[in-house]
Amino acid sequence: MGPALLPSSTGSAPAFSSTPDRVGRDGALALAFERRGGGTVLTARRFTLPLQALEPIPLEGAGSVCLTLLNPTGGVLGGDRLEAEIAVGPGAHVCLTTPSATRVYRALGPPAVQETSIRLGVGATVEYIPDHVIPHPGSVFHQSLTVEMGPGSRVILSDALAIGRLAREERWAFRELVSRISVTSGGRPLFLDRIRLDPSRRIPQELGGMERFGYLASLALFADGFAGWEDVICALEARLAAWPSVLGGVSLVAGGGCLVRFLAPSAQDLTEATRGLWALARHSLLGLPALDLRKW
Amino acid sequence: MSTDPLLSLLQFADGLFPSGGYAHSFGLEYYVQAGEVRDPAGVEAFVHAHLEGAAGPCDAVAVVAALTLGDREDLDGCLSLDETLDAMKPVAEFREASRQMGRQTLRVAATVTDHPMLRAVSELVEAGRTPGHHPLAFGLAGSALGWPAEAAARAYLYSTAALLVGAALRLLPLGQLDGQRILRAAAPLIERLARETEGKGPADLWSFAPGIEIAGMRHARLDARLFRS
Repeated sequence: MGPALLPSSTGSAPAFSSTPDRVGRDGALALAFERRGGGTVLTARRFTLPLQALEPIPLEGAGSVCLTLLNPTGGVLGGDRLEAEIAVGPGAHVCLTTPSATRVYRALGPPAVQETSIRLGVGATVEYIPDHVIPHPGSVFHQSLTVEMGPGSRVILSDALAIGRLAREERWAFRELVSRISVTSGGRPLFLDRIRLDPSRRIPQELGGMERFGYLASLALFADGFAGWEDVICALEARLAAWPSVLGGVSLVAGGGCLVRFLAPSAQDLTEATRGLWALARHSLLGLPALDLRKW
Repeated sequence: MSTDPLLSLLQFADGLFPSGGYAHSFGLEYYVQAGEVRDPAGVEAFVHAHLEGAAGPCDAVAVVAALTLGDREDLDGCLSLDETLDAMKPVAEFREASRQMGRQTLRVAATVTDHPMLRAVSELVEAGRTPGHHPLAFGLAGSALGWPAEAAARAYLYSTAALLVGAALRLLPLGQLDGQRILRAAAPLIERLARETEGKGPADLWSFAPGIEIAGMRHARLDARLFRS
């Protein structure tokens, strides 16, 4: 999608690890957004490949911008350490996405590590809607997403994974997938999602686990001070019921907020259900219409 | 008062223990109504998925962590573990079940022992200042009553399995012998999961049981229900 590929600030070549016994690249990305003159502007952008951020694209009407995070090398390799830090200042509104699925390739040695942290100022809004993770055979992936909310801030985040390259009939061929999501407010955890998949020990493909589906997705909504969760949950449930191919549920989480968890049989079902649920979340939480990222 | 840890462990893991667990099926009722679980094999698959995806790597590890925190009289550590458990249980009915069973366990433990940590956590739970999750309560009882950590994890997992089998016996036309067979078949898994809690702390908790979570979420919308989860 979109224009302007060239880094406007300090994009640079990949930083290879200086430790001789380690393979992999160290990618770092730091972004800062602020609200200025009724809109959101990108005020700092530094990155080292293989991480990169495109030019932010202003979104109509809402004073918000959409920014695509990408890895121009096409995937994550064993030994890579990719760290992204995103600061969203008071009142700013940012939608972060990726151009395509994150492919994690075979690791011979250490895991591929991807850590993303997002900090929100007072009244800030973040929509974090990356594509799903596809772990390739032999891959080892450790990812974390840390979100620190500010007073009156709002977050919509999605997270999804495939159990392999399903178009090739490949399932559970990766070595390990560890994923951690932490959403905190004032130092207190609102939502912690910590999974660990090791197919050599257990393949949770059946009842209770993946229920024979190939894709797992979560959409989590948080809004400090928001009280209308029951209505949002009912609306999300009704939307889920509109996709008979998808199996999902919605629940209120402990600290205020809600989680949609669903299983999908194909990447297309995953994408369409995510798009529909996200549109509803935008409408009910932010009062905004659906966003068409065009990549679909 | 007896100081035999085996006897107190049996008491706290017993189906007669008034934790209120009999009111919960942790998603099994949804599977039964949806026709996904209908026979002993289905119940066994459900029990194994629950133990391996949630009770083992999350709750039993939390029991062992709580026991250690209790031994160290680390109240802040206990409250932080409780917060972690609350945020790691995104399914409202499962979270409420764990809180309720924890509260009841703390009440009994505070009645039958005199342990400063148990008393402190109990008071905070009663005052609504911390949720009081079941693994925390069970681990603190273990600290007060001298249970070895791995035995506490095994007993916790066993009583979880027994609770689920008890729910299955009420939901399906199963015989008592079926129930006992399923429980006995879970023993090797319980042993392994308990062994795997060794040396683990609050940072090591994880779970992966998306199907059971979705069942727990959808259970809240069933028209007719025997169970509260």
